[in-house]
Amino acid sequence: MIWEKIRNWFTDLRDRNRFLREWNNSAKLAYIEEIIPILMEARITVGSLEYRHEFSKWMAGGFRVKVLSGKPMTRDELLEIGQFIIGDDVMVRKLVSNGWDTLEIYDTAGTIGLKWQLKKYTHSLN
Amino acid sequence: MNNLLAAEIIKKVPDAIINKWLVVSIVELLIIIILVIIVLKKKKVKSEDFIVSDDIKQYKDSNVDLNNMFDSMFNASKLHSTLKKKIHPDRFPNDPEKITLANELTAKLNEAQNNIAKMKEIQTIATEKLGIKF
Repeated sequence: MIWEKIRNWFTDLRDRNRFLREWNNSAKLAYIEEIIPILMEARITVGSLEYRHEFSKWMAGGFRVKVLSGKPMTRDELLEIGQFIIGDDVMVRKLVSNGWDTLEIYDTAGTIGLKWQLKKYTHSLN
Repeated sequence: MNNLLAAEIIKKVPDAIINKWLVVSIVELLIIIILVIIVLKKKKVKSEDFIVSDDIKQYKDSNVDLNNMFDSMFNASKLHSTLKKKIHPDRFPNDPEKITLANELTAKLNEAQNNIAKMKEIQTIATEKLGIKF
């Protein structure tokens, strides 16, 4: 039982890190190939405690996307990026099942940061 | 007489100390029990508030087309507006077959608003069957 739990913990960690690496590589490639005008990087953060769900990882429930555009981005621009990710059903489910509960979009130049409760966007499953 | 009184006092003092500590430890125990009950109750409320269906576990290994997602993020709206104009059923007033196909494609286009890969498929069909040049 304990052995299985330890094994699952390491498997989850590996899955999360693999997904994060895939995301960052795709974002980097898309930026290099001029498919997207901004550079994005995802990292794991603590997230919001009030957004937690059963599969949330302890102290690692935040999926933060840092946006580098060379200029401070407006709230609407960040909102658009966040809503696009939230609008992708499979993406949201993948994030929730991997233990993330909060999606955060942050601008590196400005001071604005937006966050979404991922669980709210899996209504079709409940 | 004085010696006797002193002996009585010495006897009584330890009893009093033991009783005091007993009371203190019982109170502490009660506080701990109350705190444990509060914590357990709080946990129960949380789990009721944040229920995510177990079905979501199956999406853990699902493949997300990240390249398509990034491509769609900034380029889907442009292609959507172009396609919307080009495949509009009103552009084929004299051909009922093309009107039907254009209607189908418009419905598909509305569903695939944020998916550039699907929109490119629609574009190919429009080029082949409706003869539209992009």
